[in-house]
Amino acid sequence: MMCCRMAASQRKLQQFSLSFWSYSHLRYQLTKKQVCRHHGSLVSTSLPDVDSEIEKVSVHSLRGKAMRAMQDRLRKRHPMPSSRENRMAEDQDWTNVYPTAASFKWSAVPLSVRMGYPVNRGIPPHKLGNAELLKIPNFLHLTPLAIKKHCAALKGFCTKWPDGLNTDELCDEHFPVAIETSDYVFSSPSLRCPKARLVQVKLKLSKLPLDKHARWKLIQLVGDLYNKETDELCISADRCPVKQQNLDYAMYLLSVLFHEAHITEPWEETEQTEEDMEEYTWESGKREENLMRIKRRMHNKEISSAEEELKTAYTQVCNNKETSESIGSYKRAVLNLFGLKEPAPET
Amino acid sequence: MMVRRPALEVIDYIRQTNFDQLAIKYVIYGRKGSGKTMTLNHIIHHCQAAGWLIVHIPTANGLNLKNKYDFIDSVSHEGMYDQPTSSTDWLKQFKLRNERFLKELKTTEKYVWNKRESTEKDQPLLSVLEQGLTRPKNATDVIGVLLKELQLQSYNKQFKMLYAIKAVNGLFAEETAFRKHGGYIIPVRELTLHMHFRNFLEGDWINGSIVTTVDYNLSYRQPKFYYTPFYLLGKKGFDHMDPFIPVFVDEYSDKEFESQIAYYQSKHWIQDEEANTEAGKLYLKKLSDMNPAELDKLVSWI
Repeated sequence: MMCCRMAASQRKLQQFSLSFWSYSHLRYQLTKKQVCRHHGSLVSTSLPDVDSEIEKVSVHSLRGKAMRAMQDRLRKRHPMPSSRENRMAEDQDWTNVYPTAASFKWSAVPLSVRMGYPVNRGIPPHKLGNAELLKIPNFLHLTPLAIKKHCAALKGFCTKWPDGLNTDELCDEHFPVAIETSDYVFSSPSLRCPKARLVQVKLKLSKLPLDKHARWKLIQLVGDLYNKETDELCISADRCPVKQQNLDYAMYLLSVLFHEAHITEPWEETEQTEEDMEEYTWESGKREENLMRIKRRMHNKEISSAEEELKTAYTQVCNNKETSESIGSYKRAVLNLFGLKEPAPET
Repeated sequence: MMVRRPALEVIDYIRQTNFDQLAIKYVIYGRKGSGKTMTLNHIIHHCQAAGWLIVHIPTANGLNLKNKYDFIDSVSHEGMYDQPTSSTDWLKQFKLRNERFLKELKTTEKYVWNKRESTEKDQPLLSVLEQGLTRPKNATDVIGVLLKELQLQSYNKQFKMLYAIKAVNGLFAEETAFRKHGGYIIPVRELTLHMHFRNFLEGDWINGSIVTTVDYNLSYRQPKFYYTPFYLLGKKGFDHMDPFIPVFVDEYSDKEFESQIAYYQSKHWIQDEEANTEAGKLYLKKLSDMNPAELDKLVSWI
């Protein structure tokens, strides 16, 4: 019985949509029919173009006659109902229209939105049955009112925020390690979501007790996991099936990295090249050699002060982003070294 | 002709220089079209007029790109490549410029080119150069020999020398346009010509100056983000050149812009009457953003 009813209602729904689409294309057909043969809808929709379907069937066949008769009957019987957007009250509760995340529904949104490719340099198609609007995500369920309601509902489950953690800096200081996990609630045959096992452990490297060597070694060991801009190390683990196992693994990784960074292997001292170093220094490379050659030519001249200036200017230029100031200080240092005088600035 | 401030600055440094020291390096840098090359040309002109020997690479980056089928296995250096055509072209312009010096200077040792040909000791350097022109196969080695001789003989203080390079970042680049059969792209480090020029750039000689420009527009397959010397030379190039004097070439100042417009007007280069008014000048100023090359492009059709 239930099944029968559902089938009946479905059929009715089909009829509705059939009648709506046939009306909407009627005027178009009357005007354009003589000019060209129209094979499909101009507006890109997922709904079938009923009119052109009927038109393809011969007028003289039984099936064609029946289809046309049915179309006429449907037009007479079911005048177009006014769509939902026209019947909406102005002071309605919007959170009831879009209670959860849902795809765009043209009849439920009282806005004249247009989207899609403008055919023949026209304007984008209107929202009625517009598939382009279905493809994009919308935030119609995330209105300020909905968020307020959501927070009010959650408030009963929250505990009091601890005293002394009022700012982000204080939070970072007392809890340097941040662990990020997600829980997923949904109804399906299985309650387990595979994404729930992912664990991210984040911490700032400055919070770890590391000396210069250990810090640089740790950064080289972790590679992409370290963000230089924020000084943040982010270890994510998803290899084990359960969240707790992944968390254990991430913490294990962190401690292993920490201890490994403190170890200095014998080859680190002998086989380190300039590319392995964090920043350019004067001592590494052939700068010293260059300078020695120059110094050898200027015998009995005191250039030690200029030399010091050159060294600082050099490291400044090489390790930071080049600015006019840093290049200028380098230039002054070299001019001093060679005993040249900069011309007076233009007046 | 307007000689701008950066050129005068470098010329001033050259005048101040104690030529007992090793050659001082200058790196001219600036935005596209700001006049780096013209600055270099003015300096070359100054030194030429003062009777210096000029060793000039018109564009170092061009050596990585032009004559891209012109490479042979090096005669003297195993695993490297010579560029006969580029080398002979370079030798020709070098000879044109410096024939007088080449006749005076003598070789300090005997050079054997192949089984039958050699250049004896105490021959003029011109004969070495002629060897490169008649035997292009030896041309790159000839450049090496010439540069080595010049380096050694600079200590005799018989001549002053200017080493001028445009787009010196080409000497420290990675890739070239030279592709062997089978797809092997010859890197810059395997080209003997570049090696000789780089060695000469080390500046282990006296009584002269080295003036170079770096150009981000003249670089091959490199990201063009900044025009600054360290970025363009790279770590390797910077260490090779260090210590050098960076000289910035800025866009026109107001005064320079005025005098340049006046120059164009005096030559009747700007024909449009509206462009000669104050409003027209202001329009040109804003459109070109005081960039010399942009201004030149703009006034070329009005």
